[in-house]
Amino acid sequence: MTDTNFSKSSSSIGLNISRVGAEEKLQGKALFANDVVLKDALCLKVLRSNLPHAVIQSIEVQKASTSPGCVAVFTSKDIPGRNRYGLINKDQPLLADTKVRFVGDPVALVAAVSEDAAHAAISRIKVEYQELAPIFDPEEALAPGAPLIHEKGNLLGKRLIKKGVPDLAFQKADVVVERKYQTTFVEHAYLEPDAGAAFVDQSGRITIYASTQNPHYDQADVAKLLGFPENMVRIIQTATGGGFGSKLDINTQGFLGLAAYLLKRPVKMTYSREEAFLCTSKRHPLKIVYKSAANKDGRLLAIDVKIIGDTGAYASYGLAVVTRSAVHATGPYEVPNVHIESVFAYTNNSIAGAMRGFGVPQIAFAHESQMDLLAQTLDISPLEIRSRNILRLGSTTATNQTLTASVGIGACIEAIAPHYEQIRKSIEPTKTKRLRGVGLGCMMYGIGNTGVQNPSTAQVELDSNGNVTLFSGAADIGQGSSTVLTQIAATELGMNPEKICLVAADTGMTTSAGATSASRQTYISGNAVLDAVSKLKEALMTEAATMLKTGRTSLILKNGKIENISNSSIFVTLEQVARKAELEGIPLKWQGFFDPDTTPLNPETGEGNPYATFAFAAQLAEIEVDILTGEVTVRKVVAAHDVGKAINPDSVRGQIYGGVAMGLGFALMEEFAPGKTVSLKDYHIPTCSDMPNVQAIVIEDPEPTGPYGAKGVGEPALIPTAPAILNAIADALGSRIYFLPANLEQVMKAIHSGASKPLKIKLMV
Amino acid sequence: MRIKFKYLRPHSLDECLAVLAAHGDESAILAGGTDLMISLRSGSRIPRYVLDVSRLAEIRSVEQHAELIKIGAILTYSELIAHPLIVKTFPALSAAMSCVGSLQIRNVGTLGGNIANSSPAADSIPPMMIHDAQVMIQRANSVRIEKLERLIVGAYSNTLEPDELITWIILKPAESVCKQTYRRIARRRSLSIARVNAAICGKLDASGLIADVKISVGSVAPAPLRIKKVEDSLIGLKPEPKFIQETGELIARHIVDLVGTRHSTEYKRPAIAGLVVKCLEDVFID
Ligand SMILES: Cc1cc2nc3c(=O)[nH]c(=O)nc-3n(C[C@H](O)[C@H](O)[C@H](O)COP(=O)(O)OP(=O)(O)OC[C@H]3O[C@@H](n4cnc5c(N)ncnc54)[C@H](O)[C@@H]3O)c2cc1C
Repeated sequence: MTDTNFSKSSSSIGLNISRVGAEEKLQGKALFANDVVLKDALCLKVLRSNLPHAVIQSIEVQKASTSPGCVAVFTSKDIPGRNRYGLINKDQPLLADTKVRFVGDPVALVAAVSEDAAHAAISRIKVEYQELAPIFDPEEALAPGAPLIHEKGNLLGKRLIKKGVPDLAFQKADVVVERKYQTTFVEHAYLEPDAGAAFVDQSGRITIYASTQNPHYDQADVAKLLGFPENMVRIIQTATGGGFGSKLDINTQGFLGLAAYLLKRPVKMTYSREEAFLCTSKRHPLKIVYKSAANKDGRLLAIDVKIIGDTGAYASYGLAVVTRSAVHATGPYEVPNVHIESVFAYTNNSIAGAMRGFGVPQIAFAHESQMDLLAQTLDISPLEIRSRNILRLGSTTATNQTLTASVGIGACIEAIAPHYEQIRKSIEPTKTKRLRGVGLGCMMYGIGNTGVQNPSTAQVELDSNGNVTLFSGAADIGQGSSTVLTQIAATELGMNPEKICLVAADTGMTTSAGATSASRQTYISGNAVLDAVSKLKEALMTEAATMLKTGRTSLILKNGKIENISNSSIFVTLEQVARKAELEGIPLKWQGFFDPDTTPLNPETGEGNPYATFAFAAQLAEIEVDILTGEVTVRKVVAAHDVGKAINPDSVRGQIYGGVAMGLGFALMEEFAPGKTVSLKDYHIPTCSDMPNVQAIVIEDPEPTGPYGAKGVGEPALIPTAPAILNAIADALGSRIYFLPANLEQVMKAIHSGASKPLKIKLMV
Repeated sequence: MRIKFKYLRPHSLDECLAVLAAHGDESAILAGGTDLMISLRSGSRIPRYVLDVSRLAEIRSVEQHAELIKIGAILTYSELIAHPLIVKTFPALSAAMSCVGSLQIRNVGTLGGNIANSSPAADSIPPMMIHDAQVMIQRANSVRIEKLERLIVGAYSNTLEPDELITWIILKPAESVCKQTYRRIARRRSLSIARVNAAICGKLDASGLIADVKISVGSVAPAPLRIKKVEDSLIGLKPEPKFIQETGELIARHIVDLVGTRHSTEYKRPAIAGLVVKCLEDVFID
């Protein structure tokens, strides 16, 4: 960072200070989970089911246990605690007991002296199964008489949102558009496959190093699996190479905890890419039937949306996706009459869980396609129809929440409008075989968990040498929370952020900050940090006022000193204040807390205030389709994001660039076929050569309850990209694709169908 | 999975051929390793010896012999793409080699490996086929020269024997008036296997009629194809846009007839036609 910039304002908010941990990573010094070396650690490997649905009749481990180098083989019988875990529903066994529910379900765990020995032992385990009829479609899973995947039934959950009188509105509407949309499983494809290491210390406490975005949840569920007190399980997050939601689940942590606990020996486990593909959670595939009504001015009158989701074998974060996809089905538009029903089922597919956006990227594809279809029907420009319907101050959302501040969607659309118009004008009718198109994608995104408490805590401590240490449970998985939290603390204390020592995401040293998910760490943990630091500051100022025999209000905290505002030669250093306070027994470690102000959704109507604040965004994509080959080239993306306040603008832009890349993959190529897709060799994510020119525009419509006005951007960054690209393809071709990904085959079909041909989805529910 | 093998690096071609003569059926030849390492890791090949041929000086050169150009089988894509004679004489092959994998793959992957691997989607094979490629194959006491189209007999299948080594690839440069092109369709711009690829070379006579044309299409059949039947039928015709369009469709139909209708045909039929049209335009228009 530039010290000059900093000292002028004594605030680092809005400065591009370099990432906490960037140097270690660049020098290869950062320790990722697989870099953790524990002396004589055993290697753990899991035997996984090769059947999608079967009853386990027997597991024969004798031959494996005696195989050379094998130390132990564990099955569900060895699990001392509750053999069920999960982020919301506790429905997932660490090791299958009665049955297996997907290809990849863990059946037995081997601990061995080497990887080879572990593999050898695994190959000697014999499992006898009785196959059951598998179900791979959520609607079939919900059909009467379908085989049960879970005893309680195949329904994961349902969410209803009702507002106004949609039936009447549909009758009165000038135009009604109804279409069906479908998306597929998507793999997170984080850079670092899951890994961890664990040991038991002399006190019997288990320490687990893990690549995780959820240390405090890990701690609780691992403790329950072991039937062991929570304080005897310590989770330390190692440097984490991305997570995007899949590292919210406990992936290696449960196995590590179990083996370390039972063997009292250090253990280590690293997933191969294939294993991470096979058994970690994916993005939910959704089928969406979306009906919109508008009057002839393009004003939205009503929507009726039916969402069917496939959560695969286990729930993971599925229930959150059931609700979030429903709550966000209007998009960033005011719709007076709403009927939304979201129903998710278990199947024998791969597990679907949290993935960057919790269902909103999927539903945004539908609502943004609908907006363009309405615009086209009414002959209004896509830009205009959106501007007419966007949420404003005082608008109410589908859940009847009134928005009172920081509704930046209008500003986002205005920011991209000139770019849109300019590209629009430059596209001329052409006889060539490369057709150009431009499309818009808009979104809103509720920050934090939906209508449930999701607090964060933090501590800040000043030691008697004047050093400040910040403690936060927030896991930085590459998105930059450690940097932002440090900037917030430093600014409040008038310090250079480099002077603050951060202890993060270690359950032995920090209290819970909740999950790194739902774009919540800047807003929620930022506020918790602010709360802690403000309390410390208050104590210091009071103490300094006594020391300097002056009024509290005539003092300012700046550059490690508390000085008189009008005469900087009158001051005390933080160190002096700390010493004095210590002598007097005044606490110098303060606790901060923040829980956004939300209300739960009414189970019948969906009414409620599920989020304290929303992020907004508008993106445009300029594309070119080669109508001879079906190839789509994304030329340019302009992305305007209302983040409230960019605490670190480079980090915000970094999220946007990454989000666009992920959105491009979601739009054009990413498709995980359970049971077929094995690794990155058959799963395509964009490479840098597929990336367009991305112009990121940061909009700051401050959120009064946010730290320095900040909201969040992690998930929003990705959400509008696929809708914008799909709308651009429709613009270029004059025919629309209702299926993601719009891969070569889909695009070729659209080229040859010539007209808008809706997808046929049979809906039985 | 990890397997154990003995790594050998012969110092001369003779030594290499001797090892193959003695242990060919329990050896795997390693050139760049970009295909081999994958099968070693997956356990689909468990050789006793891995024979590293990547540094055999005798076959690390490009040589001109009268009408023909001989390319050492173990030269890497990066070396060939930077070779002035290759770039000048075989622009379609150069373009194809530039499409392979990523820079890292091109820095080690070889033409010999691409041929021996015999993937239906191999990038280098169609552009070699339009130069009537021949492959020199050596064993301890003998040499055979095989036409590339004869060597590859199906998907990942060829007539190489375990004790044989591909040493040279022999290409016939096109007449200087000929234009050549290579194109591919893939799911993304790099690190991706071709969905369809094609190489075409041809020339017009003084009155603008097709005087010569060679067409090779890959990723559509078990092995890349020369479409000779269609090639012959084009001679003497005028490459107008409508005709080019029809030729694309003709070739697509021809290929579908040959391999039968499959799940992928719905996409591939128009894609083959489209890609061939683009290639024909490259060669015969503008
Ligand atoms: C990430 C990735 C991307 C790729 N992308 C592409 C692509 O876009 N297009 C494409 O065509 N291919 C691609 N490939 C495949 C591979 O890179 C090519 O086939 C390459 O040409 C193989 O050459 P190599 O020297 O690495 O072969 P190796 O792996 O060393 O050998 C391949 C096979 O040929 C045998 N062999 C090698 N040399 C000889 C010889 N001289 N005589 C007899 N047998 C021999 C080996 O025993 C082995 O069976 C990709 C591979 C990877 C891993």
